[in-house]
Amino acid sequence: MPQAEMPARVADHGNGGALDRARRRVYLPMLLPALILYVVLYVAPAIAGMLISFTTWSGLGAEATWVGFQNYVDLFRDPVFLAALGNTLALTLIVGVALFIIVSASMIVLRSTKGRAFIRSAVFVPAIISPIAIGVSVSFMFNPKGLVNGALGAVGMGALQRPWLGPDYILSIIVLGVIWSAAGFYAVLLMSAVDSIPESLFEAARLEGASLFQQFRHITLPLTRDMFSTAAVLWVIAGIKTFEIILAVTGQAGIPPIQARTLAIEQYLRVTTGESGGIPQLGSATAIGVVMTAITVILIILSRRIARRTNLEL
Amino acid sequence: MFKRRTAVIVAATLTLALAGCGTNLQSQGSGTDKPIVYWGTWAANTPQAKLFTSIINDYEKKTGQHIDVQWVGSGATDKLKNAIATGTGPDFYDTSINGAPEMAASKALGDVSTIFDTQIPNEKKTIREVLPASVLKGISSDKGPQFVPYSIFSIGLWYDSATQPDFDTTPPATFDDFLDVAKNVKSSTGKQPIALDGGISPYNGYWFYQLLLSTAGPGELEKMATSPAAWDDPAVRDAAEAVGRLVKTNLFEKDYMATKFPAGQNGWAAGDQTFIANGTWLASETQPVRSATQKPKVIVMPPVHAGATVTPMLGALGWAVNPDSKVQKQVGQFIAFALQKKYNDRIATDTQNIPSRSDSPAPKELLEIQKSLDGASKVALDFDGTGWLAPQWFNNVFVPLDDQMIGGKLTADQFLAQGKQKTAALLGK
Repeated sequence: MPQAEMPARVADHGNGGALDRARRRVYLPMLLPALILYVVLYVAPAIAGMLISFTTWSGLGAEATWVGFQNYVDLFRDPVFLAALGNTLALTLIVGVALFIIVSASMIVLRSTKGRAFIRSAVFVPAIISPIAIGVSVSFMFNPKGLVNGALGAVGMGALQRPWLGPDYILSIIVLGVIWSAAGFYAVLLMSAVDSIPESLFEAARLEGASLFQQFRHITLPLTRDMFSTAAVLWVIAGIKTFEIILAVTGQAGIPPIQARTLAIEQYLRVTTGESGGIPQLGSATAIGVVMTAITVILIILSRRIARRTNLEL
Repeated sequence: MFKRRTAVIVAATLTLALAGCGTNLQSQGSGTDKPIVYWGTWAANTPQAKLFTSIINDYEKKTGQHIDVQWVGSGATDKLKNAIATGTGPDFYDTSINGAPEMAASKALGDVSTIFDTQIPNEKKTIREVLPASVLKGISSDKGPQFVPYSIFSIGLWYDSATQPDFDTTPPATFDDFLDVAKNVKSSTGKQPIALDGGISPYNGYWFYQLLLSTAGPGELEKMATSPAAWDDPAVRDAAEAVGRLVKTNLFEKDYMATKFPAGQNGWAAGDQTFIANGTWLASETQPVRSATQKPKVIVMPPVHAGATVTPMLGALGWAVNPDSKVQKQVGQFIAFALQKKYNDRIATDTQNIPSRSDSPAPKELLEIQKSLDGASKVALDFDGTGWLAPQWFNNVFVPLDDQMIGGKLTADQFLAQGKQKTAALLGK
């Protein structure tokens, strides 16, 4: 760029240039449609949701009563809500760690395995199946007379048979189902980042005698850190609102036991009060939604801080 | 020129299309009156939907009045509330005793008291006169009847009459007598005699609630929801201890708290177990998988104490009216037509459920329950109505504790102590 042209360009971007004035004139009309849509479809419902969380309301046709922060106070005094909160955080954390381990193992093994494209497609399949279908499959497998107990009995390990869908084990079974459902998506997501790493780096490492794990630790992990961070954010959002698979495992005909309730399930029960025909508690349910949003934001900030490092460029 | 002609054609087409939509929505009827809009909560292929469609066809032929029926299926309650609140709801719709309070709270439940006085065609009786007094009482709030019932249901102890013929003539006099019979079945067959889908909490709760109805009568569970002191009532203890004996005797199928519904009831239908506590809908639900040799029948749960009256539980399904409907009189005429005996009889024959009219016989499996409901001076609502009167208590105090007691995790003493303490904590907010 010739040096002589610079002042004119600076003037265009600065104050008073003709192009700048023209840009300013079209700026608002161009922005307005998107701004209106954003306000109408996101900001207004968000504000309405916040306001509803300060009321008791049973839905259209009923009067809403302003109760201030009472819904929030009640939530944090309610042992059932606290159990659902604990279950949600445990599920998000345990599945998150399991996904990290599975995905890391995939990055080590699948990068150089023969037929990796096929394996990658195969592990992705559960991600395109409805969580309801996954949940129902899991519950049939873990039914007392189902595949898992049957297989344990057939190989002489009957002592390990358990009532898997009972209250003591139900959350573990749900966690397994969620891992099965989600692992393929995150593996494929991270493998796409691995594909962008030049093969020459791995060749050099191999020549230096680095093992597969060392290659992962010193090459793959640092160069895919941004994608790990993105995956962590996506999982936190998905984990906090885990819902359908729980209904499918516990069965829609009943109210999920407290041991299996997440925040999303608890919110659903307050909207519908399960099958018992109760009056919806929309103020309380909306307050749970606000709490879920707050927890999601906090976890996203935390996960991004953990993953924050200086970007490496190739 | 071409563009202008195209624009005219497009505009004309759109106008005609929109006009067509309007016609479709507003004046489908071929009769003289405005069409009546009905939203049914049955799926279109169910026996109930088929029966009502046939009745509607008969009515249209007879009167020329058109009924626009939509089978809304699951999730109907929310759709109905929203539609009625925004003025686009049906003239009448399906509801139940459990669903009516929610519709009433949303101002979606119209007054049906005048409909009850409509005369049924070809019969010299009104709707009110053909329904049992116990049913009329059960479907009424303090403001009067909430809807017009076409089918009623209850809860009881199901058994296989083929293997337990004595139950037909001399049912167990007490709950402990029943436990003795079940123990004998276990020792003679080597099989666990009672089925239970423990993942369905209300099915677990039926045991305690039915026994409570025999020790304390209706209303006691509601007291337990509203007063911690009610948990100290000896009648409550008697019922809890009876459940404790049931669990301790180890009569339920293996891993009953971990079955995937409907594995438990299907096991009973296949003859793996002899007994199950369930609703009167069980015979129709299990018909496709039932063993050819099984002869299912249901009786009211035997009482804890000999000679005690067991109050039967009443559920009812029926037609409710939109308070904003402009054709309420016509709706009443259709409901009276549909409640003719020849149609209400078909609730038993076509859908295997109990008809609402006292002179329409129930299927043979359900005759004992129908008799007990018709002759009852008092009826109980589903869990005393605590599901809608005190939903937070029902979902978060009663159900978890009852699940733990029936699952053998809590003794009767622990159930009572924790119930009292948790009820006090909930009410003390």
